[in-house]
Amino acid sequence: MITIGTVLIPQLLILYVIYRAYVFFRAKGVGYFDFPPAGSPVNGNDTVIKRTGQ
Amino acid sequence: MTALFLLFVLGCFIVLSFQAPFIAALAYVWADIADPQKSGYGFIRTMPLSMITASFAFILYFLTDRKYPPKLNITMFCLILFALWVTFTTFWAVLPDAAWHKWESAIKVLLFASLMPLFFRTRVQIEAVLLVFNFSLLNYFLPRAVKFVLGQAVYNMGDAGNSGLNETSTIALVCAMLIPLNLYFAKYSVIFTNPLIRRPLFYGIALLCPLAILNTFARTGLVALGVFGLIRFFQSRKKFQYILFAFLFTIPFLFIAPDSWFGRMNTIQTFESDYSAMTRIAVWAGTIDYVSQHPWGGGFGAYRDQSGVYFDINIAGRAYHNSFIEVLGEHGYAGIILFAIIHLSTLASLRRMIKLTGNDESQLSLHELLKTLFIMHIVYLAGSNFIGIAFQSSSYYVIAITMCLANYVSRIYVAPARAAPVHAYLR
Repeated sequence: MITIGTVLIPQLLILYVIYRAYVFFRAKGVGYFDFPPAGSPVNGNDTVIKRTGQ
Repeated sequence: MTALFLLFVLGCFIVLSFQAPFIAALAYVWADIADPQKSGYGFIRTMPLSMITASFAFILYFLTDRKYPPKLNITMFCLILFALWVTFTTFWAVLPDAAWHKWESAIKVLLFASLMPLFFRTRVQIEAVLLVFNFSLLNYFLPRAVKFVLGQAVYNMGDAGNSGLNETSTIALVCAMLIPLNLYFAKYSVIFTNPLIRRPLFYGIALLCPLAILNTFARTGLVALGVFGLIRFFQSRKKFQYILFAFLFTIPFLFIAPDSWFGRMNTIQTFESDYSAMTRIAVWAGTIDYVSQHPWGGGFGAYRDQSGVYFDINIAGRAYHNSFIEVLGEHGYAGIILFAIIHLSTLASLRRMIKLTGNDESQLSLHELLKTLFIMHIVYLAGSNFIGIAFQSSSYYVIAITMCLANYVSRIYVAPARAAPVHAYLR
């Protein structure tokens, strides 16, 4: 059980990362590609997700 | 079932790579670190995944993504030179079979690290590669941490071999490197945007790292943790609160650690009477003698060619247990000079960029990432004094990401001055 969990969890997290990286890559917005300014809307909060769908 | 699942993950990497070519390079990082051939069963064990993914990444790059090639800097130049040099030393290696075997993995690490700035140019790409690096390593330390929590801590787990990242000291050192990285992601990740997921996830992984270190019973891990704690102490503005927090944080670990762990750690203080520790010092002395007779190095695995008695210990066939001594013995004076330049230029580059971004409030997250990589590299250098991991890929990923960030920083600070269009750097 431990073995299955320890194989499954890292791989699922990696799948999420590549999916999100892919979505960002296709979105083509400036904010997604630069390190955002402190306190800006794209400094790691939900606003990023909302903009991605555009 | 595991093989099918891992094949599904590989399939996802490949499918998405056609739309976003850098994902093929992420697949290589995953295949290189997570080593899914060993985790899976059946046909996946025989697949040369690293070769498949690396070839795929380069083909896609040259066909579809050949934009804004990175500038050649001193680190990249020395990495390529080092790759050439270790190839030369392999030609005159004293033990050719063993040398060519190790060369195959070393050359892969050096070349991919030197070419990583081709693939990873933007924030999301750089964060993605660091996350894949982080989660791929989770494959190694998650079982150790879980077993420690369940009270199944043992000195040698014995079920995963004792080479590469399964070697206890190596994974302990890598875990210590990952703590600052996860603390950074907990605050600044843009891929994990929801703070309700991001914070518990990364703080949780940062907490698993010391647990896994405890379960390795490796003294190197304790030294690396100590170095990490010391750097954070000097960086901290509220030093008293930091000491109090560190003290309160350490107490629970001391209660759950088994007696055998304390017994092993006590040998750090009594290294003169500890055979294992004294053997290392004897090997280091023997290697310095060996390289005076072989100034161009003995090639990979040359420690097997060493003999003699130092500090009353016969060092015949003893491994180096120090990355710098490893490079010195295997690749001679030229090798150690190149190796030192690679690491020193990386630290110098990080210092320069930290200083540059420190005065720019608009680059806070970049500044914090640079500080994180600096800590990771110092922790690696400290730990690598006790284990021979000069060609272990983890440190080269830090070096390669530093090169990616150096290109990024030069674009945001130098390019605007030359009035380059911002959109030119998007993809």
